Amino acid sequence: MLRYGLLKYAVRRLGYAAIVVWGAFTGAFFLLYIVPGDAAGGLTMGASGGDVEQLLAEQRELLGLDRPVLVQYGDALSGAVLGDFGDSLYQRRPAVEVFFEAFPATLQLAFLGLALAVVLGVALSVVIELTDWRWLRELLVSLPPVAVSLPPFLVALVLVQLVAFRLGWIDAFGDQTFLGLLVASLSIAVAGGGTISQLLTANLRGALTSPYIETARSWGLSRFDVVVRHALRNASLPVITALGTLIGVMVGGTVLTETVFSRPGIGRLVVDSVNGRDMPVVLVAVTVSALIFVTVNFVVDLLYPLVDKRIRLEGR
Amino acid sequence: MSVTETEAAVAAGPAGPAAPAPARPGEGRRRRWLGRLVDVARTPSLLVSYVWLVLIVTAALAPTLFAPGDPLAQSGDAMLLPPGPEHLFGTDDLGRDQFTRTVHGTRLSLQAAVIAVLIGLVSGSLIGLVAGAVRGWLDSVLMRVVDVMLAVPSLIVSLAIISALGHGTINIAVAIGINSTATFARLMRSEVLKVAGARYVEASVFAGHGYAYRLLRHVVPNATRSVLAYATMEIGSAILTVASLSFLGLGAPPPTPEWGLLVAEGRTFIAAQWWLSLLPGLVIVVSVLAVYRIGRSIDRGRTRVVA
Repeated sequence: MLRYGLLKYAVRRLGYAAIVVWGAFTGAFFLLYIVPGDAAGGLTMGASGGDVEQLLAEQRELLGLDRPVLVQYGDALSGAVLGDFGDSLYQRRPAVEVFFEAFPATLQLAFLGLALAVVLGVALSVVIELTDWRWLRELLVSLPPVAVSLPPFLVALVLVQLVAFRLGWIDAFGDQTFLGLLVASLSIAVAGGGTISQLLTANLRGALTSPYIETARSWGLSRFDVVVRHALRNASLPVITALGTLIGVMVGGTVLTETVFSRPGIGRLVVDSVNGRDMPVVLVAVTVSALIFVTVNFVVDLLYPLVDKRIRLEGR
Repeated sequence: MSVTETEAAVAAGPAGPAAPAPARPGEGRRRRWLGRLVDVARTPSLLVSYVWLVLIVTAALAPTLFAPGDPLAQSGDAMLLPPGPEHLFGTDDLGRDQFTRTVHGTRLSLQAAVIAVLIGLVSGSLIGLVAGAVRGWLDSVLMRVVDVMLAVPSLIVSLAIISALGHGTINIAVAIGINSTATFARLMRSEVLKVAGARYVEASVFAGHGYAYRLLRHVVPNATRSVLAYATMEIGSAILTVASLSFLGLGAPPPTPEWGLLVAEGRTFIAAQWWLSLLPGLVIVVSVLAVYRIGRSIDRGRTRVVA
């Protein structure tokens, strides 16, 4: 019975994931299609003299852009299902290859940023609960709202100014060391940490008034044990939900960080591909993002019952 | 985020300062406003937030009130000056007064943020309302569409929309508005579902009210309240996103004063003339902080009245 329910749940989730990824792919395809201009225009840009119209038409035929839109879409979709997104129109090599060349750098940045955000956010919330000094508590409580109000590019600029120019610890442009990566990820971690801490502080406060905390206290557990081992676990559920959306924000936020720190990554690639209408590369980027989105949400759902034993997965 | 905060506030319930109960029905509204004013005056951070909001709105409507100069006026003998009484924010490499440019940039930045939120609010609320009120297959379809919108990276959508409409701050606003539609739709739907289960809606059914009356008289006003609180905070986020996209060079072209663009232009001088980027950046920070603070207080005030 239980196994049947789980199977039903898995099938349901897979179907849902497939619909979302397909929808993202299709949406991006038609959005880019209806936007005026195409890759042929981008490739022949700056061409003067001769018959520009003729040139454009030739390019379109070469790239297959003169075919009916539904044929183009069908080709793109059937290729994508098999993992073949076609060649990048500008670089003339597989779009998947182009994308995954730049992707690891961005992924590193985003995940380190997320990890830092979680560490900073959780640490801040716990310290807020544990501190006895009123003034320190007041000061710390005011930090998260400030953190989420800071524009990420400004944080990045200040970090460059301080760490690269003042202290000279890293290169201001495209630093490849781990310290460079750490500083860059800190710039996206600030806002994320603020969000996590705001959520967690509110939840901790709620959790600390619960009866089971009274029980834990009456057992004579230390304040630290009560907050960290008992309240934190129950307060972290909404934070786990927020992580799902935060990952998306992180990957989006890397564009600004990559620009300011002159780091390699998909930020520049995505901007150039959309502007140049490099459909295959854009479709790879959208599909990968959608896959990450559904995977993260799935993982978040799987984490719920682990954190809170009262929640069970159901194949409704 | 706001949803959970609301829940926390509900849980806290009577612990928070209670709203002044209206003495007589006719007096209620006025008393509530008075109570709200007193609340604001008693909370320094909230008071400061409102004062700052009034300042930037004034700056947006009548920039010359704060900075009578021309934001584009160049001066050969006042280049890259540090902040001082003459030039509050210093001057840039063309001798333009950075404070004047920041003040004059307020209008475009705020306008864009408000337009972005209005687009997201109106379209998202409509989708959410239809989905929540009609339910059935239409609800499923709409919510799947919303899921898809959330799955596509907002940067790609923004870029595509902006490259279609052309660069410009207002076009950025349209892109951000379209991107935020999904979140508004989700929030509105969940609020409609929550309200639809309330006792007073049930009572309205037994009172023999029609479906349309019940929807417009009970469900919509009660559901929109927390959506509006969220929208207020979204203005803060929109200010940040507008500035970010301008910073990437997707907004108005260079001579136009706009907050994000000012930070981007000052970037070249970050090593020596750090104030060129940092001071307009601080204006952004304080504005966002103020808007968030006000948004949170609206959210909390609302919960207090309901609970």
